[in-house]
Amino acid sequence: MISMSDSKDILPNVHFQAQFAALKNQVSPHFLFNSLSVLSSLVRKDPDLSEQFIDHMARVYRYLLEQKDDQLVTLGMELDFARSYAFIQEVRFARKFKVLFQCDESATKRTLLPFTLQLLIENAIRHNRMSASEPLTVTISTRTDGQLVVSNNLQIRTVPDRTIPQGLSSICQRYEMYTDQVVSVEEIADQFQVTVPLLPPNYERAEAF
Amino acid sequence: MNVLIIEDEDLTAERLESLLLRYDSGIQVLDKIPSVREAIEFLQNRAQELDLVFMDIHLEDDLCFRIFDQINLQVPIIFTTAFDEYMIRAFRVNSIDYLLKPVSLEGLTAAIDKFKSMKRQFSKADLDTLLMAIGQNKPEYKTRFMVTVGTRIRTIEVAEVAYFFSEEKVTFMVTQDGQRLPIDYSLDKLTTMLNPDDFFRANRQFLVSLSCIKNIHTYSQSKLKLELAPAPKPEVFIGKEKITPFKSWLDK
Repeated sequence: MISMSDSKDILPNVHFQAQFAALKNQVSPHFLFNSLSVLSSLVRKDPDLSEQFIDHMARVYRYLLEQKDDQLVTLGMELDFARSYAFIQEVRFARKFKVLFQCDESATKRTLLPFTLQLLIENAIRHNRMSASEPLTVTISTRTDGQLVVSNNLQIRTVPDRTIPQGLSSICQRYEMYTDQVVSVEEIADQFQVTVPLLPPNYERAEAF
Repeated sequence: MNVLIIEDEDLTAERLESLLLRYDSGIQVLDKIPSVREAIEFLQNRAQELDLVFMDIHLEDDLCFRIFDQINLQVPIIFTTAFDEYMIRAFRVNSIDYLLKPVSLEGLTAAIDKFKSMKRQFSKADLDTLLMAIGQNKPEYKTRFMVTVGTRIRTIEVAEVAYFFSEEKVTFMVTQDGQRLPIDYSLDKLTTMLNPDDFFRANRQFLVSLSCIKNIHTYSQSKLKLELAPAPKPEVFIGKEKITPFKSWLDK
């Protein structure tokens, strides 16, 4: 019989990396082709905006390629990436969708898992209706106790279901590997709100297994 | 030719309109509509004016298929999609055309030409077959369970479930916070109702979620032992024949 310590870490790590790879892959196809579709229209209509759009697409994909494994990144880096991602979505869904950034500068050195912001923005889009008369607004802010809060107005679509989606549950699971602090998901009045712990700059991954 | 564009991205709708006019400047785009609600409103009143509809799958408020729940639409449709393997497969089977985004003039020309040539043969039956095929390709997994505790009825989200196990022919659900609740489905039935990405049938007695597995021990050459949270009474083993599928599930 092999002792417990021999098998320790191996499988969970494999699982962890695999989950991260799956996460990165799910970003690309729909987002890429929808963005190209918008760009093909924009390029005649508004060359200046097209240039910015291309620049932000390059930033998004560069960040996707740069995150080779699920290592913590600074909030500052995540925010840069999220701003580019949000820019593209705001052009795609002009007048219907908006991301507000209200983070305190002092929090930008704290760390979190890569793609947290993008997955939460995407989650809001996936589960909520949006229109010019009823826009969907995602707000990203930091709290003085070192938590990141991502919220949106609730306008739930009938499909997909309002149960916790794959994106959100994978965020919760990934944080469990890193910290005892929980990712909390709440509905407060007409707001959907996810609170994510921000970790110290030199945070070492907890021995979860 | 009168055309309706149903598409939630304004710029993509504009692009499609300009390509249609390049294909044939006589084409009239009667409207560009971003939501299921507005599409139903339009089609209820003006469907008879239309020769062709271009339809995106994902709309502002719902999936476009909801339109067919409300309306018996007789107008031919060309679907547009960014990237959807299921759709592509379904369309191939039913040989109704679709366009991939970004839409090119070549792609649009081919679709309309093909469409014109098959217009006579087109029937409502094709659309029904197509919609059925799409429905079958997208399994809906169970998202929550209703449970009765004493006189109270409540729901448990699937994401809250750690694992299911059976004991003396009764199936129990164990939640992540340690509640043990009897439920009416057999483990076999549950295995088919839940998303196989999230749940694995470890053995005859246990169906476990990915998130409840806290540790995996190599117990002997032919067995793995699972450490689950909350800890179950009997130990949970994965037998020789299930080790390979289990590992590929972990690595999915």
